[in-house]
Amino acid sequence: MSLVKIINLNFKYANTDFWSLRNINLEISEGEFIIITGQSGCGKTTLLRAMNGLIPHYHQGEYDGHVILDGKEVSKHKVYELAKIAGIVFQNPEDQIFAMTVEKEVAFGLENLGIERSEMRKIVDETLQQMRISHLRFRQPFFLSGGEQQKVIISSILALKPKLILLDEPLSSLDPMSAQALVEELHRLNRQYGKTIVIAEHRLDLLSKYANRMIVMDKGQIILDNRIEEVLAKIDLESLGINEPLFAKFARFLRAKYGLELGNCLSIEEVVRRFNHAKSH
Amino acid sequence: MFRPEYFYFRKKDTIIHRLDPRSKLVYVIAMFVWALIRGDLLFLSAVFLLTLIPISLGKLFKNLLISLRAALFFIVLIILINYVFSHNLSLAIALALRFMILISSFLIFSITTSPDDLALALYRMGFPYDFVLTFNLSVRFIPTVMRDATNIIDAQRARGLETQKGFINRIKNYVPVLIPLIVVGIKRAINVAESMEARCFGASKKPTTLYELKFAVKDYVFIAFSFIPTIFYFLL
Repeated sequence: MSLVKIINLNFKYANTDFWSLRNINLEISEGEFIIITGQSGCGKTTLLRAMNGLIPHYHQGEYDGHVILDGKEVSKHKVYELAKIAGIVFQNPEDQIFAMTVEKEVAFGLENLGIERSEMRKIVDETLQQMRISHLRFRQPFFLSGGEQQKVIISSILALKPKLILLDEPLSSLDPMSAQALVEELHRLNRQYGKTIVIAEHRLDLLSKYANRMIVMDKGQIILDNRIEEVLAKIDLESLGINEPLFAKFARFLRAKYGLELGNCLSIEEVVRRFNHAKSH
Repeated sequence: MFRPEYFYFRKKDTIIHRLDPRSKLVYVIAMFVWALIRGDLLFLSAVFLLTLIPISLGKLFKNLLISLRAALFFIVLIILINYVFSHNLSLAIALALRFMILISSFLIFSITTSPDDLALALYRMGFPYDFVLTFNLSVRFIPTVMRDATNIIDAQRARGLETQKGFINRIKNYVPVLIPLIVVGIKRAINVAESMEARCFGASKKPTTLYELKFAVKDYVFIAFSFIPTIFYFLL
């Protein structure tokens, strides 16, 4: 059974006159690491919200179709039930901080669920260790750096033990170093703990190496959904207003200039290696 | 320039910071009563000196000085008005001291109490969870809103907004700051609510808490301390 199954989903926010999602069909299996990309306003965020029930419960509008999350029809379950299966991390860290210490931030969801104190302590300990931020435990999250804040928020999601973690442009407010660190952390959660990761992002350079699948959206529709190397080889992302990863651009250039077939590459090192290899033959 | 960090809770580890918020609340109420119950110089000076003890235990002298400096205008005003009307200097000073007692005792409460703990105390006193959380969030977002305000002021100044000349002019010119600030605030509120929703807000009617408040010996001692002025009351 797939973790997420979306069937013919259409959605229009109340007070708008265009469909933010049009005819979406999508299946996600456990353990995947998926990038959703596309220009701003293409429906990436809306799609994430639809997966954990914020649409149609929190954001109302015209909703048509089915989203099934781990066997549950999303429109028929409360957001807090779904939050235990799919956690979501939003773009701006500051809007997701409610508590005065990191540990209380992590405990927030557990408190809401009415988890007993001794059990809650245990989960908080585990989660802080899982994200390797035990040293921040008693700090005030508001005064942490952007990268640390993002980690705290991801921990607070992890505490609910979701199978699926949805992230909405988590890298946009981070400097390149912290962004890199965060991506590696996500990769670890995916590998080591088997968490399914779906990330809406357009900084593809950092992510391409770790994702197994890429979904390209345009004007509310999925226009391409395939293995990442296939997607990068198949279409010119720049024509859709998305920043193509440097290695993909480079590979395209080499292909055009020397007529060499480099195959599917996912990093600049690989492009160079294959180029040298192809040249010597 | 307004420096929010002197008025905003910062985590520190002193005995005063570790007190139960409820005992601090008792202290503040007691001090307010002592400040108002008598109006003579000797008694009020004694009470004021007493409030300096928790201030020094909490390492808050700097905060106190800053607060008093901010209130200087009112302190001088109180002395002047009372002197003009009563021609009694010691009464005028006593009334200013009364005001200073309110400041120095409330400072203990506002700066050393984590809003989390205060919220927990309110929750245990029987206030509804929604109310307590609203209170908690409003405190949590003070620095965020202040930063938003600073950013907007800078942006508007960069476009030529005059915010420094003339009293009326200044007030008038804060409109282009206030409107974006409110809009940003509303947007933020929507985001915050959404992410609370995504973290199971409202799942249980009776949410649990990571910590429990416990009255310790130091809390009883502190409450007893709040009643020391009883002695002054009968002796002075």
